[in-house]
Order: sequence, then C-alpha cells, then structure tokens
Amino acid sequence: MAYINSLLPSLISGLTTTLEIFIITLLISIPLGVVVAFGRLSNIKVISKTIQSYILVMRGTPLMLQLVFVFFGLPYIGIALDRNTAALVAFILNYAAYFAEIFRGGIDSIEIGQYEGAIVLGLSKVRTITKIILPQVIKRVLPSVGNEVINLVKDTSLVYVVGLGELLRAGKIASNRDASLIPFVAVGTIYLLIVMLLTEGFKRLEQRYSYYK
Amino acid sequence: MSLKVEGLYKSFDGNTVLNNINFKVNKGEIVTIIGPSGAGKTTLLRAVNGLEDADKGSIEIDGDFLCKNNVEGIEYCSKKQNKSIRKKVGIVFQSFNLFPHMNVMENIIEAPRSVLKMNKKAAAEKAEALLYDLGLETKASAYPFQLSGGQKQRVAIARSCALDPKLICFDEPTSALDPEMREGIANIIDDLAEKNMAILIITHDMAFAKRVSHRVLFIENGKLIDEGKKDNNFSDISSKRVLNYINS
Repeated sequence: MAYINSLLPSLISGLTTTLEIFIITLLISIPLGVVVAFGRLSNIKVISKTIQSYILVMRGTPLMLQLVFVFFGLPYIGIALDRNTAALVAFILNYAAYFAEIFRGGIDSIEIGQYEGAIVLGLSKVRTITKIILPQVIKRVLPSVGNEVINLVKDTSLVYVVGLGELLRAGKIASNRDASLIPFVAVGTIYLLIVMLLTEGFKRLEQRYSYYK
Repeated sequence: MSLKVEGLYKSFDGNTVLNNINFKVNKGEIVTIIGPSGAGKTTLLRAVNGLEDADKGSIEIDGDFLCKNNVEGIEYCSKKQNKSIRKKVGIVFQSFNLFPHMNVMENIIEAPRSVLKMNKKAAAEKAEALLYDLGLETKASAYPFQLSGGQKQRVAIARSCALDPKLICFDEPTSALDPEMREGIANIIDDLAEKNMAILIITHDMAFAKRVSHRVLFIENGKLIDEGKKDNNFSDISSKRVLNYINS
C-alpha cells in the first residue's frame, strides 16, 4: 500500500493529462461531428465529397500516425503546434469523423414521415432539425456514442508518441524504474474506474430517453 | 372555393402518374378520390400538400396559388407565399407521423407555437378544446406509443386542426382502424365539414367513401374517369370499369 501511495503523485499527474485530452476532445468533437454529419448528407456535391474524403482519411489511417503527422509533419508547412494542442487537434479531427458517421446513421434512420410531418405543419428547417429530428437521433445513437467515448478514454494513451506524459506512460516509467508490474495494475484499475463511471453515466442517459419508443 | 386543381400533370422517369387532373373542393364539402393502387391517388394528395412538385398545371388553395402554369411549364409560389398557404392546408397521414418524443399536447401545440407564434397558454387552451371534441381529453400527456391507431389518428387530426386550415386531406383514413371505428372517423370528418372546412380524402375503401363523401371521384392511370354524387346516391356512376371496381 505504501508503494502504491508513492506512485500516486506521478499517476495523478498522468491522469490529469489523460482527462484533459479526453474532456476537451469530447466537448469539441461531438458538436463538430454533428456539423460534419450534416455536411456529409448535404445535397451540395463539393461539400459531401470533401467530407467523405476527410472521413476516409481519418478512419483509414492509424490515430497514432495522425498524431505524429500533426505534431512532427505540420511544422514543415509552417504550422508548429505545441504538444498539447497537436494532440488535441489530432484527436478532435479523428473523433469528429467517427462521431459524424454515427450521427449520419442516426439521422438517416429517422423516417421520412417525420420530416414530412414537420413540413406540412410549416415548421422551419432549423426548428425541424433541432426540435424534431435531433432529439430522436440522440436516443438512437446513444449506445454507439457510449462505445466511442469509452474507446477515447483508452485511446488517450497514444499521446505519449508526441512526448506527453499521460496515465499509461506514468505507469510504464514507474514499472521500468521499480521492475514491478504493480504500477500497471494501478493504471489498469484507474482506466477501469473511469470506464465504469462512464458506463453508468450512459446507462442513466439512455434511461432518460426511454420515456418514449 | 377551397381547392381548385387544374390541368395537373406529373410523371416519374417518363411514367405519367397524373394526367390532366381537374377538380374542385368547395367549403364544407367532402370529396373522396378513389381508385386502385398505383392510380396516382397518393401523388395527387402529396402534390396538393406541396410534398411533391407537379410538372404542369395549377393548384389553388383558398384563393392562393401553390403553383400555376407559365410559359416554361410550371411556376411554384415564393417561399413566403408557401408559408401562408401551408397554414391553409393540413393532412392526416396514413401513418400519422406524430412526433414520438413529444406527448400529445406537445405534438398539437408545436406548430401553433412556432408557426402561428401563439403563446403557450392560448395554444394549450386551443389544443385542450380540440382534444375534448375528439374525445381525447384524458390523453394530453400520453406519448404516441401509448395510443391505439384510432387515437393516434385523432391526435393527428387535432394537430392539423390546430392551425385552422381551410382544407384537410386524409390519406387512407380507414387503413389503421377496425370496422367499428370507421363510423367514428366518418363522424369526425362530417363535423369538420360542418365547420366549413373542405375535406379531401383518398382511399380505396368504397363503403367508407360512400358513407362519408358528398362526391366521389374515380382515378385510374392518372386520370379522373368518373364521378358520383351522394345526392344521386352515386347512381350517376356510368363507367363500367368503375362499377366493376365498386362492386368487386
């Protein structure tokens, strides 16, 4: 126990970085994903094709490669970002693509009759999207979004490639130094606790939307 | 005149669905369009509701043109005019298209609130009166999934009526109902007509058409081919094709 206590300061410092990446990525990539989803569904070919290519690149290459590219590659074209910002940019762009595909599926799954019901009542397009379509989309995509959010918790461990000290890296350093597996057990437990909290959170959210079918 | 359709044409990929359709529905009149599947009934109803653009012809609703002919073929009204025409025409869809995440009250007051800019209290009072008329006064806070087919249909009627339309369209109103409830919906439609609304129904249920309509129009292959009037007990139907259809 004393040993674990001695690990805590470095693990907590790593956890802070992990949570920072996690929270900021979610806060930006989810709304961005909604916008991208509508762009992907746009009737304007240029927009939907551009967005399709973006989604292809983001889903078609490893996130780790994207991190490396943003941090080490972009300076060659004059965009130098600090480690934190580079990691966030890569994560946000990557996750927005995945969220966009989830939302697109959700938007597509809403029956055409819902749109027509809104049209014949004379509701504006904005009102139709915000009051009629999106609330129903949220209910349908919650399980998939939950999956993706849980993935993100674990994906944050990739930021070590740009030299950020996150939770897993803190554990690895301690493990190498002390020739012990206990730091990894501690790290694994922390990830598990976070995911348990998120799972519970999503369960409650789904319950909140269960008032209708 | 609440609805006047003249010379309406519509085709999909070279397949003519509406072929020179002409008819009128007066205030307080119940007109049913009947015909086999694929005859063009649904397309006609969708065109009147602005859900489908016609290729040629005119649709006039309570004095305003939704579309009319010009030199190039057809011209649709401006967005602003469209908005005002929208308020004059309502439709009760076959599948009702209620908003499942909103309760009955919310479904009904959504358009009065956001389109007519009514305040919440006035909109709710109006909705309560409509629900009372339709025997749904206890269902205001129910969600659509908790309602039977007939109840959903009445909510859809209330939702349409909340905008005080001049014309209400019904798409296959008896398809979700058991036989006992058909009389109920027929009575509701009678009441709406008595309040001077024009009613346009499409169905392939001849018994229902005869029960509820002042006039029945027959459509086949995109053409209106015959007409029967209630005043003549529909004895003015002359076409053999139609008589066969009715009696089959």
